[in-house]
Amino acid sequence: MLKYVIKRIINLIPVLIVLTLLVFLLMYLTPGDPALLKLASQGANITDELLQMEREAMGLNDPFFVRYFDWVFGILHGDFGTSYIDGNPILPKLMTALGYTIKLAAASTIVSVVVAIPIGVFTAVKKDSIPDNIIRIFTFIGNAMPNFLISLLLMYLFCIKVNLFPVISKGDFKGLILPAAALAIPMASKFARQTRADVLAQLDEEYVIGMHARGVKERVILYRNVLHNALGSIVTVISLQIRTLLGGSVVIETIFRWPGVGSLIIDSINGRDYPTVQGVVLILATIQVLINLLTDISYCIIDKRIELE
Amino acid sequence: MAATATVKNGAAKPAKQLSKKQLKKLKMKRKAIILGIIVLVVLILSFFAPYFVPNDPYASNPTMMKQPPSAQFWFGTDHLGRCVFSRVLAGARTSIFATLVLVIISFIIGTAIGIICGYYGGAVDNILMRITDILLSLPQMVLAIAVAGILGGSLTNALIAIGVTSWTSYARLARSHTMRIKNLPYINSCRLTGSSDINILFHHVLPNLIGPMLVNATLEIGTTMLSIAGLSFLGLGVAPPAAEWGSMVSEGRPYLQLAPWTVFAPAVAILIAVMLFNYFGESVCDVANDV
Amino acid sequence: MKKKWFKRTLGLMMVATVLLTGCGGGSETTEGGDGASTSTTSASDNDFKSVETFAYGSLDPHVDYYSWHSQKYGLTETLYRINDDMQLEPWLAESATTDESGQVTTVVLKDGVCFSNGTPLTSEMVKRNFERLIEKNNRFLYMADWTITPVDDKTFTIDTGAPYPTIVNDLATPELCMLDLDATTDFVSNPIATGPFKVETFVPEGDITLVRNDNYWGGEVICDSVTFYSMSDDQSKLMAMQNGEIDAYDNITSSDIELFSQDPDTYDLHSVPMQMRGYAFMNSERLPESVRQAITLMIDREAIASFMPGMFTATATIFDTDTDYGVAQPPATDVDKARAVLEADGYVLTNGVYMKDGQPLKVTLACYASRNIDTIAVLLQEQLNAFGIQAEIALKEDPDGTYMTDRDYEIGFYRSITDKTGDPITFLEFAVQSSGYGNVAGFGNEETDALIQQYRYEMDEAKRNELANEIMQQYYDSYTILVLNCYNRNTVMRKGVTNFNENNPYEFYGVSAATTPAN
Repeated sequence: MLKYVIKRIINLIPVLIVLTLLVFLLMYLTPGDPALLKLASQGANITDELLQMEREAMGLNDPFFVRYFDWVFGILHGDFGTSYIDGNPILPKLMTALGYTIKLAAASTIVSVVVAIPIGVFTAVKKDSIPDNIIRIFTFIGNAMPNFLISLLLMYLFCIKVNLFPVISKGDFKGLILPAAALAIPMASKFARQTRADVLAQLDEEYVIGMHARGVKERVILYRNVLHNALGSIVTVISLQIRTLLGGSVVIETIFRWPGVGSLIIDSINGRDYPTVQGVVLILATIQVLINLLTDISYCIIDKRIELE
Repeated sequence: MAATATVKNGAAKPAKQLSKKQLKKLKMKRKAIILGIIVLVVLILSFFAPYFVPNDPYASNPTMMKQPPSAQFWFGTDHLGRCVFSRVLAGARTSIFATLVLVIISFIIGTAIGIICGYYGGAVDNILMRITDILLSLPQMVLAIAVAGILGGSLTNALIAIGVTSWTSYARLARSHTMRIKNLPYINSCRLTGSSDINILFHHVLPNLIGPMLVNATLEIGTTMLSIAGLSFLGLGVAPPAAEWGSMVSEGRPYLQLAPWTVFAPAVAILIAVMLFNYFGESVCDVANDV
Repeated sequence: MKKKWFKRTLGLMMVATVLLTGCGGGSETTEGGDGASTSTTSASDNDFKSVETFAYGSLDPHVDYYSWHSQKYGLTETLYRINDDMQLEPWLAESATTDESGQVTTVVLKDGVCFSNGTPLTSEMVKRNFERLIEKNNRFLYMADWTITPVDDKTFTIDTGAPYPTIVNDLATPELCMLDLDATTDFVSNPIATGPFKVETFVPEGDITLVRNDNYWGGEVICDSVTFYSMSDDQSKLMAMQNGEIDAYDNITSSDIELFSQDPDTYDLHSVPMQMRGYAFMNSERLPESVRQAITLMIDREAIASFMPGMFTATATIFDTDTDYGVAQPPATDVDKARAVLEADGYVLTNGVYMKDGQPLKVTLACYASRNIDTIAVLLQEQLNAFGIQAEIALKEDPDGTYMTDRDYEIGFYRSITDKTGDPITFLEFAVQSSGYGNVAGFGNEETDALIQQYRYEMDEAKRNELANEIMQQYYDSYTILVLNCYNRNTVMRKGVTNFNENNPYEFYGVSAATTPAN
């Protein structure tokens, strides 16, 4: 077990190196001269001399690898560079935004899991009953809803019609509810469907039939055995969902004005603030790599039967 | 068609001979086929939709701005007086076919790479799989926004932006299937009798994995459609005035209160299309898993 | 049996969703007002709240354009200001007089002007603010050639080295605001200035709250505090207003105008034509003169403006035609003449499309989604197509990073304030002069540059106007510019709110000592 974890961590190193290279390349290949953009955004009268000065100051005249190593070296020291737009360091901004996004992602994941798993188990047990069918229709629709439709509906209903929540979210709990709900609806639908399918598959297994025959209580079978065995694939779905959550909340963050990484990246792209875009993509990717690792490790813990590579 | 025939035969013959399970299987098959036909009809209709729109989807009209739904304009008109129904129809082709093109291309590229990795293994496999690891770790929507933002907003660029990562799931699936198939005894005997790798790949590996791969692809249609709509909604999709569902929602958003139909008509169109494809994908999946 | 039931429910659900979503918006317009009365935010009576579209990471008013915002917040002030009638009037200064040479200007500061910490503003501090601005902002490098000499505590002279007729206009530019450079320790988030409000909390790229400056030199300040929420999304601004969370905001969209005007009991709408023009550059390197001339002659500006009532008025000129320097004009719309011009150049109308040498006439419209520019582009595209020119739209994130710098466009939309401080020089330097940032259509030439140079130092009013008109006529005659509209500055205020600069054409003014919130 420990050996496996160490091996996986060592495997991360080349992945992370290529990742930084890719992210850097992405912005390096972007058309447009950053110095020109920076000056243009300041509205300066651009002369060749000024442009040269700015290029030199921004380090744009250095060869590719010098710039790349400068960048990576900076990151290793916690320096993600400075924004083209306001000249402020990127890291603090990134961390604040990340905090908000994680808050949002965590809130919606927790709500989804808490709501969806019992529903999933319930619908599996009461398969083909009327409640099962109704819930399945809802989860089916929820699963297919474009997130902007959910957001616009929620905002419209609860901010304007009913006036329960402020439009101006200040990043506090009250402001968290609607965006978290907008994220949780499709996610809970997905989880509920997955749980139902997994539990149903488990219920058909011979050991369940055997336990029934032995007179083990229904509830015990369900929670101690069936759910436990189904958990593996549910965890996979959740971990996959977190990937979509971290980046995919862009639309929702924009609509609800939630100051997370989604808003940050949209603003930076609109402002052609490439150092910030680089920082956001790199941080999110690194987090994802770590989540993948944790997921794999959690498989081992949940299900010892999984063969370790 | 053959499948429907069996269903009929099955129903005509004494039902007692069929177990409950068999009946269920037949029902599932029938459901998948009916849905398949519906999907096909929708595809054909959406392909030809631009030819039978009731009004010109691009003609603006200052005297008909933000009109509510009526006999002339079934879904009302937008802020430029354009017929929303006609635009939803015209947008069907763009939205649905863009999705299909993306799914098909990622499917082909992903499957090809997956088969090569799974069959040959070794360094090629290692490198390609690390690449998929990295791509899978990049947040898809953020990457797509970055790529679309850099390349500029257009439908092709939006497809490229999503396509950069979408092929990886097919590659992983194809790889695992190939690894399973290549270890089957009969492949070994093929090799012993001197069949070339190409021959084995095309005549034995590919036919064996194409089924599960296709099932996976149909399941992906809905998600892909939502991704494209999301990018369009953020203004990184088609260029105006082209009708496309995601960008129509975004165009109509300022008029959410004055003319809600401009937002909800295309949004519900996306919802229904995604539900249809998801339902179809799931029933195909059910049939495939049961056989 | 169950299957059938399932399907029927599914169908019902779909219908229900459609109905629910469809009705959702049907009747809301009347409820906007009700929302306000049951507001969820409990603002104390004397706080003014508004929104800011662009929030930046710094308040330092000498850097970039940040002063446009700090001045709007009621934080910074300048020596002169432009009033509602677009006339210059003294603000921190008492007077400014230029001697006969046109070279030396004597500025006297108002008595009693002090910073929010109580320190009086001295001419020495003004001089140091000039120096800091030159150091921090490339756009004001030209002021480095000036000599500023304090005469006494309240008087100083500016020697521009050559006649400089627009000196007072420069004193009114928001960037040239006065800070207490000794007391300010944090220029980014708490510059100490002379305005009626001082910074309470500032979140970089986020919200800002200011509180009353008890030492304000200009008399009583009505509001206790002022908050500007950072909000770029028009829909959110609209809903925040309907929800009673903000008192007023400006630059509202045409759909907002329509919504708010339906409820005159709750909202006051104000509209002033501002000096911001929407126009399109026509790249002379990509399009032959005949095509550019034809487009100038065929465009129907009124038709475009009719789709967005209240947002702007159609106009064909860069400057207001009732000014003395705004006499020059492009040719009036004349579709027949447009066709004649194209046909004279060998274009033949076949199947509704102009063809030459077997090629259809095609143009690409590069635009961006801001202040309805994308909508204008769609409407112009339609007009061009109907006329016989195949037009396509290329929507860019923003013009500055794209076609304004690489000049890869045929027709490129842009908007800017063309008449800042009541003088044409801003636009001449921006777009007409060959070294200008906006000289992207290939017009700039030595002859016009010489005229602009002459204009810059001409002191005689009549001669100046004559020169301006000559330069602009040359510019229009090149058919490299297609002026489309003049934007209105639209402000919505909750009933009871007053003095949010709602009648001034410049958006860099906003909160003042007289601003009153709703209660």
